[in-house]
Amino acid sequence: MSDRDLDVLIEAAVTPYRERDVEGRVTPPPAWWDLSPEAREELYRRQIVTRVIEKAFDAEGWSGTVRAVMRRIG
Amino acid sequence: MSSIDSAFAKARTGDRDAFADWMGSVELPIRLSLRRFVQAVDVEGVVQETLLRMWVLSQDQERVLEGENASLRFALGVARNLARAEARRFGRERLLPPENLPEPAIEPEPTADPGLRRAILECVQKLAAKPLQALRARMQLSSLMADREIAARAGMTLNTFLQNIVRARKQVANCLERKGIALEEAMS
Repeated sequence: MSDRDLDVLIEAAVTPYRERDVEGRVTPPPAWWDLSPEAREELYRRQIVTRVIEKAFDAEGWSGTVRAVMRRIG
Repeated sequence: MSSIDSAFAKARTGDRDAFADWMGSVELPIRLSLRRFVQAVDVEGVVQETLLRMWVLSQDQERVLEGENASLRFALGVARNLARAEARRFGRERLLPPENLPEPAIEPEPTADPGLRRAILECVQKLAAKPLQALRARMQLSSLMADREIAARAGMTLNTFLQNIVRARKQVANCLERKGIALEEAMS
């Protein structure tokens, strides 16, 4: 896999959007399963940075994670 | 009473905005506490599930949490247990850290830094058109829908959309570095 393809694969798992299974449990995005342990380390770093950027960008100062949870609790 | 305890106490009255404030203070500490589980579990999913369970707990008036930052300390325990359970569910126990490893010291998240926010927004505004369009769309919609759907709304293929996000991320990081801000180091 080229560096560019790996970059895109990691990016696909950065999103805070999570599907739930029939039992209501959060499921990882499809791209997450294809990442090597090393790529998951990079994913973790990107998620931290992304959540900070989201907070800066958001009118209420919420990260995508907070917004996703707020949507769940209604 | 710490600001974390104060926000959690307010959330216990059913105040969702107070709960959002509380989440804003504990999200990063929870995420950092899961550093050791990164290879075994989807950390984002564990963080969200932990926060959801804390909301349920906050509405249970019979549960009492005592001590400074008790809600944060309790949430860190929930996150750790969830991570181990998730790893077992996916058959990834071999990637778990040893149970007897000392817990890392986790500090509450510092209060919002207006200078950092301003710097990030300045750097985002300097992005080229397509990366900016993709990044904005994702920031606005990623808690609601999958990237594929956001990409379609933005008139891009999923691959092009993600490439634009990657480009945006690199440009923002370079811009912040020129301002003397290494975002990743500052958060770890």
